[in-house]
Amino acid sequence: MDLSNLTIEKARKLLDSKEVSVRQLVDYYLENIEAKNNEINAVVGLYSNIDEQVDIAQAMIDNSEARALTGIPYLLKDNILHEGQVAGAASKMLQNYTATYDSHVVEELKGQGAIALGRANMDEFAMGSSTEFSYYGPTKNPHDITRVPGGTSGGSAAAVAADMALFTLGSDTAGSIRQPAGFCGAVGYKPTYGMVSRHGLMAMGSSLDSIGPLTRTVADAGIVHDVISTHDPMDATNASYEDRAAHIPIKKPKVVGVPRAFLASDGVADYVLEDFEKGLDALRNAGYEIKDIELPHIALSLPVYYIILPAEVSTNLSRYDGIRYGFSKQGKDLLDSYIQTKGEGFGPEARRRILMGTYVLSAGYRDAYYTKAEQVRTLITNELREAFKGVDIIATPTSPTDAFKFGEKADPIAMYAADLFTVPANITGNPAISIPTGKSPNNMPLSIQFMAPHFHDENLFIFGQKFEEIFKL
Amino acid sequence: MITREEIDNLCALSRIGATDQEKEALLKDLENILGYVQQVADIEVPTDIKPMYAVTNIMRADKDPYAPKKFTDKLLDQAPARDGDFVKVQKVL
Repeated sequence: MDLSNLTIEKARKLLDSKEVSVRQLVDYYLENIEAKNNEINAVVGLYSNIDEQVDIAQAMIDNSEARALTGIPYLLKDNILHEGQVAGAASKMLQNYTATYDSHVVEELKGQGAIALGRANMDEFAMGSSTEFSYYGPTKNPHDITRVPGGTSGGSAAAVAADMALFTLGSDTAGSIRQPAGFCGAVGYKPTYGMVSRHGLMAMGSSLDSIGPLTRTVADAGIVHDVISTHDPMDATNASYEDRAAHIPIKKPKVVGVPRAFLASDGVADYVLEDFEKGLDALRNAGYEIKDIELPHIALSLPVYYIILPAEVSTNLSRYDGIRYGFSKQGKDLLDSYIQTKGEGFGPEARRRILMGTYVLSAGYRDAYYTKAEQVRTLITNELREAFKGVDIIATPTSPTDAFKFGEKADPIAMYAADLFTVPANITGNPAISIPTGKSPNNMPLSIQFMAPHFHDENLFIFGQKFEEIFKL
Repeated sequence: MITREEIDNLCALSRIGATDQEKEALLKDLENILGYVQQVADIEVPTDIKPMYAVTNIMRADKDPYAPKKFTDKLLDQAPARDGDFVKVQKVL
């Protein structure tokens, strides 16, 4: 039986009709990982409890208790906790850390009987745009191994593209699900901030982080999202059902807004814009109205992010001090131990951002940088809210270029610019999805990004599935 | 814009050890990044625009404690140094 390039929907049917057993399905992906991972390096390590998980899932199916994700194999980005298994954020600092509790998303997936196969590679502590900053070495893009898979969920994206799992979970703070999904030809989804519990996600930018799925299709992303987006009292920023219900849209999306001035930013490749126009043409032909909109401050999202995020990072990463867990270097006294542990435990990008954050929060600079950035953040959020009064969806390309070559973005600012179109959704908290479209002149995947108002996630799935259908035509 | 003294101070504040060579590289990088984000510091924002401060503090009442020892071993197994039910550290004072 050919199990290649399945979707969750197809696999569900095969499992429930008993045409395929959970064991067979899991072995298919384990064999793919075995065959391809030396080259691709998407998977950092396999979990030790796969066999038990297989038995539990098969029993559920045999007892007619199968749920949407029973027996469905997936990979977890290395910053999401699975109790009893290593979770290292692809860092030296946490290379031997064994998770002492389950993240909320893993609790939900365990309840479904989904099969967690192991750890997906990432940039260390989720900082980067290419997975070149992983302690375990970079992941290669399965479409061209001389090119990056994107980041920081590069392992998660490459694994979907290389058929190593039926879905993966990633985290997105400036585009870290959507950008690598786009680079690898997968669907990548960032929910509304507050929809998916961050309990058990190693915090990087607490006001910006979100967990989300990477999948082969929009429908699959919707299936995973439904399972993992239950309310969780363990995350104080997780929205109550009442708050979510207050925003439920009453109409299906019909009008798509395009921020033309934003698309004309420096560094956006012509072939990206051409591919984007093809996407718009497909929508026009299917009866959607395309409207030009103005978002005067949206291009400031990226510099705003590079003030706010380092500030939050400098706080969140201060806990890694070698005292209670993780890498620990003993110096001549306690202070010296901290200095050596952090000096050696953190990689170059983590170090840059911690120092940057310390700077923008320090006396004399805090108002000029951090407070001002938070004000501009309000401005951008207001502008988006205003724009959504006249449109249902906002469309942009996902990335300004296709997947670049390894080493190409050695300058930090050049690397940061990769997140130009994805970062606004993190600054404002709006949901956004990246869907594959055409190919670049380098024959690499391109993609389109759609954003919706807060808590209109359902509309993104409806619209996204429609787009998938019509773009194929 | 940013000085070597400031880099030294930032490393001390964040407890991150770095060699002289690393600090020179960090100086260049931070100079670069600060130059990029300066556009945010320079922009005029109307005074009625409040900072977003998207995350607010929430206090959870300290009630219904877990049974004693429920997580102790699991957590202490992760500690680099352990002494009975204590995490062992170097002298603080």
